[in-house]
Amino acid sequence: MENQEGLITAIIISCLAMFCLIVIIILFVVIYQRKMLLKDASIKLMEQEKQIELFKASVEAEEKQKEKIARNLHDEINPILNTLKFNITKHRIKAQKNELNPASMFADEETLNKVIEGIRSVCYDLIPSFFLEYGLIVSLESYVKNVQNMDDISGEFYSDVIPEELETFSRQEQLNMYRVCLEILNNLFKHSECKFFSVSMNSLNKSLVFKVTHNGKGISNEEMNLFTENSKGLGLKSLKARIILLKANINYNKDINSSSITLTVPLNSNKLV
Amino acid sequence: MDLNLLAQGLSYLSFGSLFLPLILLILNYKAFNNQLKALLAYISASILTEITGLYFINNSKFSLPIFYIFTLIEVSLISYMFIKEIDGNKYKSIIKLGLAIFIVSSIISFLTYNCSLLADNFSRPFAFALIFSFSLIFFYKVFIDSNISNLINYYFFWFNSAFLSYFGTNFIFFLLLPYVVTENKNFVSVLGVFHLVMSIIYNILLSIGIWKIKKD
Repeated sequence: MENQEGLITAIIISCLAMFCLIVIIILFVVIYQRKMLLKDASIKLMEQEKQIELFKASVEAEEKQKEKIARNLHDEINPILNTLKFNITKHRIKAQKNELNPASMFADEETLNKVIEGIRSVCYDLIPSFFLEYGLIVSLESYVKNVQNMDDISGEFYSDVIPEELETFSRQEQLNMYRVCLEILNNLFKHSECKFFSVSMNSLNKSLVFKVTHNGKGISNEEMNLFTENSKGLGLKSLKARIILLKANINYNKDINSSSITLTVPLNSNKLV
Repeated sequence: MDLNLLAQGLSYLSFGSLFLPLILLILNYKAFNNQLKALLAYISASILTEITGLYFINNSKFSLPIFYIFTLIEVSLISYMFIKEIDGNKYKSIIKLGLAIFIVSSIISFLTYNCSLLADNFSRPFAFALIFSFSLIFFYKVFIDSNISNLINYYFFWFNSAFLSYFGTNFIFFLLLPYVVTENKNFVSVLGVFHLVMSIIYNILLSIGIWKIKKD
């Protein structure tokens, strides 16, 4: 009888324990699943916010560029054109009186040259003419040479990329690469205090690798991420946006003797000949 | 407290609670899919079995085969609901294989033990363990896939919770029950009360699931 009583108690206790365990399983599934969904939602929200920020940066960059073009036209070209118009009127009056001296027109020719130069400069801001004419490699090489001539910095450029590999990229993609490289170099000259730099462009493992090595103050990936997040300027944000567009990867390596920045852009393998 | 009286009261309540999901199913006939048709067949079979069981309460020669066939129907219909619910051929195959093994082994034990209580002692815990496993598979899939946006509002979550709690608890209950050979009515009533409470919870959870279909 006592055995039977013990057995029934054991049955009830084990069934209750099982029931409690099941309730815990159900609660765990519900709570964990909700947490997972919330986490997913917050990740999606963060991604959306980043996208919006990048979009804003690119719109702002575009607006700034338009503003710069407008200012250039208004402040540089417009006054020269006004002067030119005034001079032409003067020449017309003089010509009517047969007092026109051809020598006085040399100055106007000079002014016209200034206008042409100004318009060329505006066009260069939109799409560098050198880039349009000679392509990515020559433009980068030319930029490195120009920097050498202007500043107290020595630099070199090396490339083993063949034109077929570059042809896998559209003109816009190549322009993006050019702008990214220029932004990297501009930041380098502004902040690193380097005296020597080298730019190499190689084709490695189905990728185009741009490497900038220098002897100035380097920066790590973590520091760069922090700068980009806290930066109010457009440069770093537009750099990031262009890197995303290129599906590229950028790596900053900091070292006492020689630091480097490596941009790896995957080749469009489906377009490879 | 008179346990016999309590057990009797609960048995009426448990029988009555069977009609709750049935009524909700009938009211929800517009949302009927294959799973709900299977559930309707299962609940109808449950009610019929209960009525027949009450009719043949003192005649185990008639009631045992009925309970036996009911267990086969119950496992088949619930397995069918899981097959329809769980994605992935691997899991569907596991459920089909489990069901096939259960049906074959139940028929063999039924014939071997000549439809006695011994056969029932084997088939019920096996059936309950099987459905308990299917319920765990469903939760595992929910965990892995994370494709149900609001689990609480999903009807099959409630069905699965009903299956998990009822069959998981009763698996242990029916596994140990054959060892109880007492004639003491109070002891039997304690077990009866427990089983009936679980049945009532089961029917309520199924009803919540059916009620949630309206909100889907």
